Amino acid sequence: MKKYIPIILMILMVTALTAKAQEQKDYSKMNQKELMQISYDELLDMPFDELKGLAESIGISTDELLKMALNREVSSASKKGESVFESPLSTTVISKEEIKLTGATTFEELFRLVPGMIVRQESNGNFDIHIRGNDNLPPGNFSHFSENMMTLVMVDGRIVFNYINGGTIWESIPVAMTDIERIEIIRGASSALYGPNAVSGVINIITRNPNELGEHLHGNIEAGNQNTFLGNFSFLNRTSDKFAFKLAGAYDFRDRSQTDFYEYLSGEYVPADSLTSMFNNSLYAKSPNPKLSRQNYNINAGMYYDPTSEISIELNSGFQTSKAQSMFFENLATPFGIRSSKTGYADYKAKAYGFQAQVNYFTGTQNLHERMIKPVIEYDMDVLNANLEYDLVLNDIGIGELTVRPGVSYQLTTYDDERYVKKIDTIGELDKGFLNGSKELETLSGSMRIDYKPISKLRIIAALRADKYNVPDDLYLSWQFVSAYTLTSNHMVRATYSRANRGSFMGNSYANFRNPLNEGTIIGFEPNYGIPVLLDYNQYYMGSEELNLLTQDLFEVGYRGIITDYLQVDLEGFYSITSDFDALLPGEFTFTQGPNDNETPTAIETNIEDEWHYQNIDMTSTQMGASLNVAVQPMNNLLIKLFGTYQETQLKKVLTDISSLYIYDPTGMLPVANIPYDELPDEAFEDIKNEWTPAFYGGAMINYNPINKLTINVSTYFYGKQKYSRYFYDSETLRHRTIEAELDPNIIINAKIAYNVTKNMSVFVNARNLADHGKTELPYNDKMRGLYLGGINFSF
Amino acid sequence: MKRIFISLFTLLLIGLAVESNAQNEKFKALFMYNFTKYIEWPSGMESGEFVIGILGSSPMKKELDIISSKKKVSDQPIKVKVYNSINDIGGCHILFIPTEKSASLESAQAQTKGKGTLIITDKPGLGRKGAGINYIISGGRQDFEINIKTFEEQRLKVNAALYSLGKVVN
Repeated sequence: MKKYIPIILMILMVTALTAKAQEQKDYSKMNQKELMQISYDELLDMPFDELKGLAESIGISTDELLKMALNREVSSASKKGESVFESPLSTTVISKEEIKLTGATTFEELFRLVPGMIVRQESNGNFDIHIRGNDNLPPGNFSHFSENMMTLVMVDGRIVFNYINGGTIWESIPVAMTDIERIEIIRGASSALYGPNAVSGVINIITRNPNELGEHLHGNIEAGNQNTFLGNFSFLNRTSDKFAFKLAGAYDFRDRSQTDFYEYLSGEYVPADSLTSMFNNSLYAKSPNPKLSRQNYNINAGMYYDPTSEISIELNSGFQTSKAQSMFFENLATPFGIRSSKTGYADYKAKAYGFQAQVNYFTGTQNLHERMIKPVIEYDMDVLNANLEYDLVLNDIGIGELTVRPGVSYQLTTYDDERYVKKIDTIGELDKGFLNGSKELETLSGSMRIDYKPISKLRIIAALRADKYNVPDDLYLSWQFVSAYTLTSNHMVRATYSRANRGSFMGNSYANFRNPLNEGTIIGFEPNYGIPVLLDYNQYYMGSEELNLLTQDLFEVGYRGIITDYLQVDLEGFYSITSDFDALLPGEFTFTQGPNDNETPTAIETNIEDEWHYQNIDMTSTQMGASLNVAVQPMNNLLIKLFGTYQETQLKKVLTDISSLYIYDPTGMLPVANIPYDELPDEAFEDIKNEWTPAFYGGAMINYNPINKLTINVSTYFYGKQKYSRYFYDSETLRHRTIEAELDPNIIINAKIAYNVTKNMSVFVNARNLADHGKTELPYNDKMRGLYLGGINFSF
Repeated sequence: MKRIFISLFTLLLIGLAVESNAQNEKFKALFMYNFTKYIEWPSGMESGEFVIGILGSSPMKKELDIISSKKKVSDQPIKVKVYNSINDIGGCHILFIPTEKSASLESAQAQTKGKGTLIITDKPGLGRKGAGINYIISGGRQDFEINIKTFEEQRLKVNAALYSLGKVVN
């Protein structure tokens, strides 16, 4: 794909030359430098319409972009509109302008522009995303433990993560890139302000609102190698000050850069047809479409009604269908599977006289391993969410600015796999589902938030939230204390202490399926009679309704400063302790062995029923680190943003070897009993660093306007060395163990060059992974190749 | 790692050494001056100084100071005042609320209600939330929104020609 680089350079040169040739002395044709040389007196005497035309020719300057870097509106941080500079939490906002400039083809990729976020590409357009790491914990367990299960992901305040394990199926989020107003990211435990699962942070994608009168259309179409075709649009129309509507949609089709798959058993990439599971059978293999990387489309509609200035009502709904081939749920043959989703939603919001209500309903079907695994992991989903909050503003009682916000919320989630279990082709007795029936998770919550400014320079936020779950049948309290002190209007220091917990999920609570490791395998011969010893070994994966939910305590300090108009700094330091992790580990065990016939035996039959349970483990994770984000504008037409995170994660009491949970027969081969996790000796554990979270990661973005109509944007993302480990069953030695793989440091370079043909339309070339690094960004996943695209962007 | 920090530090130094041109602030200030040509303030405010208040610090201060040294509004000399908090806001013809102070819009509205003050803000969405004029970036260009209802409430008369130059939000 390196052959595309000269083409990109040539297009850049031609575009630059064409643009240069077009320059004339007319205001609309003058470049920014010439325009800036017009004297103040001349500008002051200019008629307003002419002045406005001149401002239009200049376009948005980089100093405005710099200002926007800190002063973007954010509502997530305190649930009250404010600028990022004022936000008392660790906050980053990606604006719609930045989305257009950088050329990210998915919103997942945009997180590479955010400090404190670890973003690894699994296959073309599919990403693994974490805030500050704490990922793949405990080490050496199943692949779904490497998913991000600790982040609250929302679209316009509606929860969109998955309840099977708390991970996010990104391609199924029904959002068009050009319909995004901004993406707000809050780093750090924030359950008290936002709700369960905001342990590592919150991601809230805010879509455009039709505020302006009249019709507006925004869109982007592009195509490139690896059969990549992307398109999206957003049409907004405010017909009066009372009524508006919106229509938005997107499609995203891509192939993988390769068609083979990594096979755990052989340690090599092999064609889909020859994939064999780690149990040495082919039951789990055969992707129905080895080329496919991602295929999704969505359509969304919204209506907005503001009968009076005190009342506003919003109704949004949408539908999406998606498929992606990447890592999400354990496969036991290869990391990849095709996951497919067909879902719809309706989201109602109303604001009236200080009350804010949001009710949404989500329904659909999902298959986590399309035709790749039995038992089936396909289910119907129904999720109902209702929230009500009230803003009690008490500024008049004479003690400063005080807002009290009480709130209640209710959530009912149902996952049901019964009809899929019934309809699948049966292979032996493997016609079982992951859940085997309809399962419910129900949460009732109450919250109280106090936002107090005793003096204009000091702001204190205290939030307390109580969540009552049906599974586990327990009440969880989360809290958050935040203070922010404005030294001068350009310098702010802040501190946070918070406790947050993860939500309750279907898999951890209700998993219930059998997995045959050995079926009638000859493992030896009886010495006296010479008859074969056969082994039937069934492993079970069982959820637990009694699990404690993962909890994190976080201490954080931060400084934010506008040093000069052209230099802004945002620094944050964090220290967190996370406990109550859960893991899938051996729980109950039965072993039977005897002749198949007492009088004339022809074989010795061995049967092992090995139940692995989701259970809490004693491991704790202590994380300490700091992120720095600097935006600088050395020249009027050049903006540079640099950010990086340095951190260390210490794990205490990590199980060294899964097989230490078993007692083996004298030959050392057959497990005959197990040792409960709680009874393991101290020697079975060790204290280690979590090497899967890189110690250093970060990036940079450079935006340059060499001439008025041309924008060059280059962004890079860097991560340091990492070591990944996961579960492995060796079917020859009958041992459960872990396998490890190292990931070398890597730099990913992206670039977009856009030429504004008119003020409403631009053409561009876009390169993701420009240098075509050809390495996996996650061990055992696809080797990432350069993606080179061309397209048009319009905004009317 | 060391190299990254050195590069970062160098960039910081470069940033500090280079003079910046707040081009958009300049246009916002010029726009503000032009607004006064289309607006009539209530009688009683048409003599003495023409006061432009800024809530908190803002690079707009520098630009407006330049304009005030060169121009008048009708015959009124322009005076630019900085208010450090909501409670400091006194009688002014225009109150500019910089982006980072946007959360104060509601309090500022309460403070200036019926006093003939035109509130100008600088954040998307505030036009509909009750600012008289709100600066926006539209299609990558500096633009502004006009909320007619607010002008009526503040007893300000507007020449309709201004409507065609900005975007009316109600």
